[in-house]
Amino acid sequence: MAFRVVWTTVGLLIAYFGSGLAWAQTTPSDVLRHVEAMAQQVALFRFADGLDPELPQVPAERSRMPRHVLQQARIVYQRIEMLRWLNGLETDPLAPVPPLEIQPADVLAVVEGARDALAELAPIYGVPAVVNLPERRTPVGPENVMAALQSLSEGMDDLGLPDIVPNDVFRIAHAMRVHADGLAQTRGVEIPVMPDTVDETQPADVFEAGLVLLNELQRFDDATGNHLPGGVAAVTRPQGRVDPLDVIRLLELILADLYSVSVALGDERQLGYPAPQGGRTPADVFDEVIRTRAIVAALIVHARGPAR
Amino acid sequence: MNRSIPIGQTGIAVLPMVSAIVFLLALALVAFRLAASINATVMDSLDEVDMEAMQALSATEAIVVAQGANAELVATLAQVSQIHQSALLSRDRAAVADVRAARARLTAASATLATSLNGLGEVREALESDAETPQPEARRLLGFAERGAVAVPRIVALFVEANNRTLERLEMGEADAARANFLFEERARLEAVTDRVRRQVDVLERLARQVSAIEAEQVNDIIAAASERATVRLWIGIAAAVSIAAVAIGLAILMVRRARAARPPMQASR
Repeated sequence: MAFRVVWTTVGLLIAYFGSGLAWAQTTPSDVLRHVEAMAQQVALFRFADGLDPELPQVPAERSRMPRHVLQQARIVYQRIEMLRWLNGLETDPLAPVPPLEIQPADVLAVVEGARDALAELAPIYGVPAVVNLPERRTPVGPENVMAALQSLSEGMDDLGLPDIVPNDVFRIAHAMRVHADGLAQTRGVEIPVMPDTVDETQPADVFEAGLVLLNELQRFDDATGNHLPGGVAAVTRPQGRVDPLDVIRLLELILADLYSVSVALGDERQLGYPAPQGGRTPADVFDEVIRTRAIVAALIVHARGPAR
Repeated sequence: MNRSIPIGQTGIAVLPMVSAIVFLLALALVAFRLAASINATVMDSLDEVDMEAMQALSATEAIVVAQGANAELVATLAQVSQIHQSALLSRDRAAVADVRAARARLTAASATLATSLNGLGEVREALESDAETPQPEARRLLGFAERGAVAVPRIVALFVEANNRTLERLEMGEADAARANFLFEERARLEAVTDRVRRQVDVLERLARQVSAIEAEQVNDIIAAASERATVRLWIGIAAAVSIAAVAIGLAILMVRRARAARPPMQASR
């Protein structure tokens, strides 16, 4: 009896530490294999819909961290959920983002969920489910996974998904502002009151405001003495017209960085997203970005301490 | 004077003769059966062609019904869009009721389209009737159209939600907010519906062409196969007829010869 207990305990310990080790050893390359398998699945769906099966190519331009990739993976998951809903399947909400510095394993967990959700659409499209993972590629960085996820997202758009609209962007902007609010409250910083924007605002205005916010966030990170792994995201202005998709991608990066800074400062709140929105315009998104900027500015002042 | 000659006296064996007659009868029976079989083959083929034609008609009818429902959806969509944009431009609150009425027709049209797309099972049956020819392109087109039975009403529902928000703002006198909602939310939803419906039109047209071509090919195949079977049986029939004739002639010659051989030599006249 005692012998059995000892062996069971040893077995459990091996299983626990073994899985923990595997979890810790997850690399961007592992994640990319799953994303590429999903791309193959979407290519089959596109073919079944009479479209060019080739997905749009998105180059991996700037350096990214797993926290940025996680946000993009969450967008992809939500797009898949929308596709499921359009095809009459049930949908599941995403689990909250854990209050930790995000690792590739966290991204993998979301991507695996997305892949399972996508595979269930295969019988509806009358195509086989892609079961096998492609060969592992090296070297692979988070930016490659990010580009693959963006390509996947764009490839799904042609399957009848409605375009990203300010309602979708507002959810991210609102989550960002509420999180900044909470951070200010926990640090005893008074939240500045800002009036609503009344004039007509375009996505390009929101994008510019977002770029400024990103710089403010870097200054806040510097002021706290925290060194955000990889620094805040570097962003390239899109060529031509800025549309809500560009804005949502920028705000996802900012949200990832803001959340990471707050976690590094000991904030243990999970990242919360508001319910799906309706009737939001770029002006609403702009207001949220401007308010977040004001909060971050107040946080910078607070972090630097009283002026001598 | 009795001039008849008993068979036994003619020297002709009874058994071979009976056998020959039985053989002749058998051949005649075969020939008759073949003639009947050729007729049955032709009749069966006509039945098959008739069935194929009925199936083709049902399939085509299902597609035509879906095309009609799609056209109705396109018309109501254009109507909603026109009335709605006119109401937005004129900031006319009274026009909201007209938009809602047009929108109700749009929802009804999308439900009718869904029903008609669900009725495309006839097309699937027509495509699956020839298991040897999988028709991948036609099946793909059909799959897209059938998925529309669920997807189109949902895409329309997304548009209706967005449209409702615009109308609510217009009713509250917030014309700028209504316009902004139309520009930034409703238009994207409207484009999603328009895009889907446009593709649906194209897919149904291509599907109709494919089904007609497939059905025509299947009818041609049936006629060709029936013709081939009938030709084979015709040749067998001809062979049987020739055999009957040959055996009958042979038998006649044999009987005449035996009869002559059995006749007593003629005596000199008195």
